[in-house]
Amino acid sequence: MQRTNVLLILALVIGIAFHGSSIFFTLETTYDALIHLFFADHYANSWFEPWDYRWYTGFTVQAYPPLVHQSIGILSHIGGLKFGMFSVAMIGIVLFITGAYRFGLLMTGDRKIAGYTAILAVFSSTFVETLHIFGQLPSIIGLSVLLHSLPEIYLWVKTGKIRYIVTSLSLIAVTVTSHHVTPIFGMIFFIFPLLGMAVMDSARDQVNSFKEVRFGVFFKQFKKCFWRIVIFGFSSLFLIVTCILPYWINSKKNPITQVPIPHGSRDNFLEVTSSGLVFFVIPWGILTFVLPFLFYRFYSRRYIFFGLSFSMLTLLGTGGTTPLPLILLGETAFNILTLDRFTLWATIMALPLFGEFAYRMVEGDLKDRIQENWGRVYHRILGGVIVGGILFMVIFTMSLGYFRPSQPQKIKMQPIINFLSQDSHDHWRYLPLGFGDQMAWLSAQTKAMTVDGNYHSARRLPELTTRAIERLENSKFRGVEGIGSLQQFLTVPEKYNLKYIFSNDKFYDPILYFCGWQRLQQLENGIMVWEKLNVPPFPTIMPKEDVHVALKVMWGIIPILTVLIAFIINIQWIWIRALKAKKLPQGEFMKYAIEHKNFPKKLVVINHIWAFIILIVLGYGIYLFYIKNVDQIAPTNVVQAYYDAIDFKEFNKAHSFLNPDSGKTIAQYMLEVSVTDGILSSYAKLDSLGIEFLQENDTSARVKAATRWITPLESINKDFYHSLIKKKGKWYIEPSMIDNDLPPDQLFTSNNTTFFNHGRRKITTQQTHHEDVLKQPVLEVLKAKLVQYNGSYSIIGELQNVDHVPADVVIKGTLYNDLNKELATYNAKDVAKHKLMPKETTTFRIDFEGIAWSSTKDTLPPTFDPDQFTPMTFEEQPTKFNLQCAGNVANTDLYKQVSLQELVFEDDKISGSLFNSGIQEVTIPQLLISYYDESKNLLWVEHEFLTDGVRIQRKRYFEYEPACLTDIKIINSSLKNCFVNGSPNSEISDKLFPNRDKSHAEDQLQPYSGNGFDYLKFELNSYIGNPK
Amino acid sequence: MHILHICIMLSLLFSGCSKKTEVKKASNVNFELLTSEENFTAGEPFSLKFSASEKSSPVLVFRNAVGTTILETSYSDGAVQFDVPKNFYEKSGICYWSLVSDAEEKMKGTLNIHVNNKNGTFLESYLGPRSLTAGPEDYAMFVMLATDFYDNPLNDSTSITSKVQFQKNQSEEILRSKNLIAWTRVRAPEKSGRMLISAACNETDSKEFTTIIYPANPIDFTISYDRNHEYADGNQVIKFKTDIIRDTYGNIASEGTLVYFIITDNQGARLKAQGTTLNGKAEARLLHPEHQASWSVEAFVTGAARSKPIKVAFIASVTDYEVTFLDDNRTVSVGPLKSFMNQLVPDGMPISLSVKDVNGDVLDVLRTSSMQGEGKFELSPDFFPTGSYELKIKTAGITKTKSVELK
Repeated sequence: MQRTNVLLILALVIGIAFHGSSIFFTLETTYDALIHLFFADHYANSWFEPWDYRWYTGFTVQAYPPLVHQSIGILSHIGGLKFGMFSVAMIGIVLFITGAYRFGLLMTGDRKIAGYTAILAVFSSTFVETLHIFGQLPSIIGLSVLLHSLPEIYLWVKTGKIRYIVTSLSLIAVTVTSHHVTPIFGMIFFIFPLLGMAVMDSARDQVNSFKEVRFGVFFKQFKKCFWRIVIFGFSSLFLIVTCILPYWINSKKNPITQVPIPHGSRDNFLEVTSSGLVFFVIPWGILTFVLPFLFYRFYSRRYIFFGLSFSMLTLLGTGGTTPLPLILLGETAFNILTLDRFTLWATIMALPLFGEFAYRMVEGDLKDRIQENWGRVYHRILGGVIVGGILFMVIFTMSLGYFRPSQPQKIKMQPIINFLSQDSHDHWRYLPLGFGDQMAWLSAQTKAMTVDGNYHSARRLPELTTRAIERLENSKFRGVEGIGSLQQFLTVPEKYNLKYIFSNDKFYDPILYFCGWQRLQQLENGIMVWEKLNVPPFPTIMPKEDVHVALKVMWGIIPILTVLIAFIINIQWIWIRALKAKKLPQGEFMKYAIEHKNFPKKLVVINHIWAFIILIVLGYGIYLFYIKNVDQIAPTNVVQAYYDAIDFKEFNKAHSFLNPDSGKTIAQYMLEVSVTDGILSSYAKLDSLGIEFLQENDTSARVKAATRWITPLESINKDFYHSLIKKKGKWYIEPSMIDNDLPPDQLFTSNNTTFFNHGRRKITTQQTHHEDVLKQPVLEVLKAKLVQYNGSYSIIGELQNVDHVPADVVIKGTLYNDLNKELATYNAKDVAKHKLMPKETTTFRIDFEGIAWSSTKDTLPPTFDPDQFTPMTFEEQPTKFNLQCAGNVANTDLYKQVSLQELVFEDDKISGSLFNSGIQEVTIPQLLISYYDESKNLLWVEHEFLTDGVRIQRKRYFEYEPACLTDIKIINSSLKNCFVNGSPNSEISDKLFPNRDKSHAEDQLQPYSGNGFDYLKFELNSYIGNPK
Repeated sequence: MHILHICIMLSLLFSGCSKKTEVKKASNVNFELLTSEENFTAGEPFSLKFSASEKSSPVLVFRNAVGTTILETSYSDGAVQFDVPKNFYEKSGICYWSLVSDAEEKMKGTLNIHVNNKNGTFLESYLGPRSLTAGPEDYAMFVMLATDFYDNPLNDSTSITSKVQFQKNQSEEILRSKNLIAWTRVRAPEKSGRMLISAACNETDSKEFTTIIYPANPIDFTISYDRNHEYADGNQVIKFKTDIIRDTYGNIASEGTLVYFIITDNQGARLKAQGTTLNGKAEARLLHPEHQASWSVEAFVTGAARSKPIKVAFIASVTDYEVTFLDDNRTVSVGPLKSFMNQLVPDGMPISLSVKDVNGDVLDVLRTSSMQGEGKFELSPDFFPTGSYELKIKTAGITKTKSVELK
């Protein structure tokens, strides 16, 4: 009678208690879990229909193997989606632990060692990371089932009994339907070496010991097993292809042609230490210290094939640290695959041998060896250190998500879901900003659609696939490129029927405002809703890529069927195994257990030396980290530390770098910080910092800090000058002067016209009553020109709100060539005022950015800079343009109380100040500058954001360098094709402004003799961050 | 499964076919219309009766604005009767019928269903646009559609009254419907305000419609200013105001109309302030300049109206100040800056110090602002080694230069 393996039971109990309870606190904040939840929601609602409209303007769920999603989907009908997810995760935990046990048993043939393996599997940092930080459920399930299939495959090759091929194939099928990469690479890295080992064992049977196995013997056995291997190989290949056939067909049809998205696992781990931590140090964990033992054992004759595979996996897992993975995998595979999975497999493969190490350390020959050489105490200490190391890695990994959250705070979704279902808001697309992976959870709960999505392999819009950004939602983390991509969607939202934005990150607010969006309301969970006027709802019939019914049926039936079949086939054995109802045949592999005695002394020494080296490397790394972060050891350090502190808004820390004798108290400093506002202090992330010494001696220095900031609007380069001083061996920064300008009035009044639009007056779910629809305000285009400047084309012009109510302005320009072929179309972005009071004018400029060009959608340059977008080279030059302007009644963002004064013209620059005379604090002032020739004809329009805000009754100085317009080319200046609200501009002009006095506009121009122009005009636009 | 079904169906189909050809029998039945009435009223049921010479089952093809239908009947007492269905007899207009027996048209004719005025009238009305500009150019269109109880438009030339109220005036106009509708243009009056419009037909009245009359484009206006004192202290606020801006008809300009104030200073720089109207008056504010200045101010409602320019002069508030050099000239103290009553200037008066070397090259420009009337600069030996320099101090529009020797 076999005895139940106590260690396995222990591993299962601890594993379920530990992982099973902690998933409730970790899984929802992992990277992937919520994505799987979204897919599961799809299956729960439409099992057989693979098309989902909710992401990426429609995508197919056949882009990911469905088993795990479908399982969650089925379980969700019992207790909701999250119940389904946690249940599947529990199943994954059990499968993994038992899988590791069986793999250990297969490898070592020793039930005790296999038990150790199971316990170590519970605490392996790689599993903890995969489950609790990455949330890769399909990967875990796929790998665990693969581990379960390994003994069956071995037994098939070894014995040739039909029932083993049936069980192994049934398990392979489950693996295939839960994760696609696992079986493919699993074939190469797990099954090939396994087959090798099986043959090797057969060869061993022919001779007396493994040492006697020579190539000849091996080859003979290989020939004997050849057909079994071939049968297994082809049948599993057949399963890989057929079980998820729709997936392969979809991959063929929509190949991943997108620009690769940077992934930390491809970084050089020595350069990007954070990636090194997450993708190398954590998964390897304590295994790093026993690498010599692992390699020693892997390169023994029986494990030789696993040894090769293990070495390869280890190497590939190092990502971009060495050029070898790139060479081995080739450019395409390297950029599509995430290389962390290789490390995952390597560490899982090492588990049985690590189990053997533990066994030998705890109760085997290693214990004897150490005690014999260094004494009992040392053995205990060493054991304690190893166990401590394992526990440390587990706790460290688990707490990573707590101390360095990868996700924003948990967002209450109910208010958003309510908003979307109210008043037909779900007839437009929405876009969440700053939601992290919780956007998937939002999508799972609503029928409303978004342009964004969270499974980037399924993206279809060229605007997304040509950019190396994962999601629009977190575009700020992708720097200039991410922001640029987001701006394209914000500028032409009507193209995607995008009307609502849920902003959980005020970083994006300025770009929303300057792209013409307006705040609608703040939901009760603190999310700000922004809306865009003049966006049509999406059509009732939406395009979709349909697939053959047979494929839909396959996709819906096969995955669950594989589980059922595997269950039916294997249940009998599981039952017997668990209850010990009947004596089972010992696995063939049990024969090859070796007696562990006489642990090689040399290996002990080598491993000690290795561990010592690792410790030194670790220590040196920590030392480097420390030295780099000692803040005041040198002038460069203090400036760097100061800007880091400012960037992370750690003002207490920043203050500690200021000269303590300067008399600036922390209270004063904090007060000064609290009264500064503006794009730099509120909406910028420091991108780079260059420090240049202007003067330097031993005790003082004057430096220029050349900073580059990423803001939602543009990247800002700004130079700051600092005086530094050394006191008591520490360097300090002299605090800069604060503007001590005193506003004249303590209390003052301001009267203003404000507006309110009811929306629906009649509360009805029917279409808005025609009496409640306001007339669109009428605009008049005063000037419009197509110009070429610095090689790119722009439409510039000026328009006026000639109506009696404030207007929100959307200006859409289209370029045509001589043959009237449409070349490009785009909207005015931030070079225009989007909200106009009655009779207010604005100059505008439409730039035709990348996606605007219809002919070049698929050949966009891979690098992207929103400020300096590359104008396309085309044979067909634009010669004509069409302008479609639309006005809608606006009632917000109508602040006009900023004045321009103290203008001084110097040689090459203009300086002046803005004075805020109203009662709202202007966070980001914008200057629109238009240029005119000697006959006061419009030549060019530019804009400038001031980096600091203008507080109430205060002024803000600015400097502006006018452009050089000597090479500007005006291609077309005709108002013929200008339309407002669909009516020709000339009709509006004749009707509403028949007696326009053109001298008014001309008399407002500022004479200025510049390079290629004679007059200038300044216009002011202000973004208010916190309207009161 | 499907294939099996199809096979069974097909075999049944084949076995069901017979080779016998049907012989068409010519019918000789004669019909006569018994109903003499040709005019009916919508909503009232009616039927058509025919007598037939022998027993037969003819059908009646009936067609009017609703559509076409085939009516069936039963034969009794040598007469056939066709009941016109509800949705057909509720629709007014001409009806066409034809009697068909054995695929042969036997008789045909027309009849009229008239509008039913007995059960009351419904009135639908539309007005647009909902806002107009005062003056003779602009107008709204008022469209009325009167129907009977069954949604049949009343006959042409039905009289419908359109009523307009504007301020103290009320007017009525009797319109005749034509081609289903009656319509009128409602001209904008010369005064701005709210215009209410309604309609009536028979005993039915419409609801109230509104169109807002906005004032026409503004005409030239005048501006004035308001300030506490005439000194250029860089701190007080000067207010520019328009008088009430009106249009040609004397209406106060639309609320929120934007007025640009362009201020030309004596250097030729055009400063700019803007205000929006409230009850016709716009206001914009600027800070007093920091030095003596004379401004010429003009206001625009671009393209429509402008003001006459006005002049504003500021006299210097600080007439002179002292500069003291301490610590071997390394500390430069400016001030006290005293204003027109010898009071200290309010904090924040900008002071600049440009340091030039002997060759006249600017080494650095240091800036500060006054605090308690004074400003201080430190010339650190770390950055300005021993030597001679030329210092230029500028504040409140007054520049002072001094050559110093730094030790």
